[in-house]
Amino acid sequence: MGFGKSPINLAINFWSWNKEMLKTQAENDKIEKNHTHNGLMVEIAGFGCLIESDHEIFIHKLRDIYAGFLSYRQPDLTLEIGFDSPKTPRFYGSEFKTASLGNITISTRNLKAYVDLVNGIGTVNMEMEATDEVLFNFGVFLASLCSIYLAENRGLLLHALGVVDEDDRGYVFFGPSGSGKTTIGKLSGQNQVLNDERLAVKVYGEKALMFNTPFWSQKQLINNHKSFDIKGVFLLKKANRCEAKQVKGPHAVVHFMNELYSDPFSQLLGGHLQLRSAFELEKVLRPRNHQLSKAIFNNFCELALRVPCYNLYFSKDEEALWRCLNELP
Amino acid sequence: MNFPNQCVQRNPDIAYRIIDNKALIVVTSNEGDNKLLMLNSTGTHVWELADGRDINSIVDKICTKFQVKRERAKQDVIAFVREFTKRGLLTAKNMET
Repeated sequence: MGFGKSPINLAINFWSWNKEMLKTQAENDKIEKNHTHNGLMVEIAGFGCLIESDHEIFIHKLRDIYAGFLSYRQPDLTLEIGFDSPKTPRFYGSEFKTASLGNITISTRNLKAYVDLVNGIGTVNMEMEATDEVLFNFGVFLASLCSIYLAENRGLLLHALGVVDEDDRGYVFFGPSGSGKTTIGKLSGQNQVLNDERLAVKVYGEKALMFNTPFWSQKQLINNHKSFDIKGVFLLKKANRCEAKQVKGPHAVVHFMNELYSDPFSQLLGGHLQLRSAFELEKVLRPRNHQLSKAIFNNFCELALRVPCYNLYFSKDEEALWRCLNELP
Repeated sequence: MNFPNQCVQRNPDIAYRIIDNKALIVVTSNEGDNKLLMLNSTGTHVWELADGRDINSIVDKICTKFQVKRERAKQDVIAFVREFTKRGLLTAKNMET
């Protein structure tokens, strides 16, 4: 069977074409502005970031990295990226300050940024060459901004794997590195596997939703802007059986947050070793940053109040795993 | 420090939530070792009452709520306030005259 013009592909093409026809002139102008050779608009879990730069190669590479997350709506934040000449010293220092939650200064080895999330503007200065390291650090920077934006907007960027079953119900699996997120992804058969590095969750009314992200994993869905109702949050425990044990109420919050490394907040921020060493994110979580710590704690409480939390003991038995998960209410 | 004559107040910078009648409190340290505390029902009640009122009135409320002898309640509340003040979670200051 060929993979050329399948009915699904044709349907998607028709939908895309139809969508193009329906755009108004104003929308077209906006799209043109947001997706020129010197700009692109990325949307992750509702966080819209317009990235502008005269460095065409940099923009071109970003467009490749974030291909599945391009968007056409009004941005929440416009970032002006400037590049220093190679003669400029490349070590910008090491600093992460939050004068307020939406007012951030970041310095790292090859990036210096000031971002005003409240007014939706930011400037970034980077090394001239768009090397893999520069692009990676820009990704870390964008993930940090996305974390803070989500914390302010009833969400979290989790170091977690997302899986969606055939009924579009979302499962959030989390735990420290080595706990089995990748293994669960491989055991997920026909289900849709989202990012197994960074997953965004948000609380809307009585619902908790999860979203794919582009950070350090290239799992692209047909529609990366789609959200999924979360059926359960699972803390992974390797075992020789498959069993989900619910942890309730305040115990869920204490248990899950304390299980996540010694510094639970940096884990919930999407922090990992590279992120910490790059931006010293742990400082954000110390007492001088109560506002952000409070937001993350509150959002995790909101999530735990809406979605059942479980310890998931699992073995590499796909059938047993999904039988166990499907039997949950 | 004469605790019974003190007014106690939760530190407004401390994040906390009450879930199922239990207080969850974020405890931070200068080393960045953030932890969560979960209080039992008595502790949660004292925590909620620490809104600037004096210790004697907290003791009164605890006696009514949990039907314990005043002297025992007073000892427990003072111990709680002393520990939580030391951790920077509560502030205690003399009553205004």
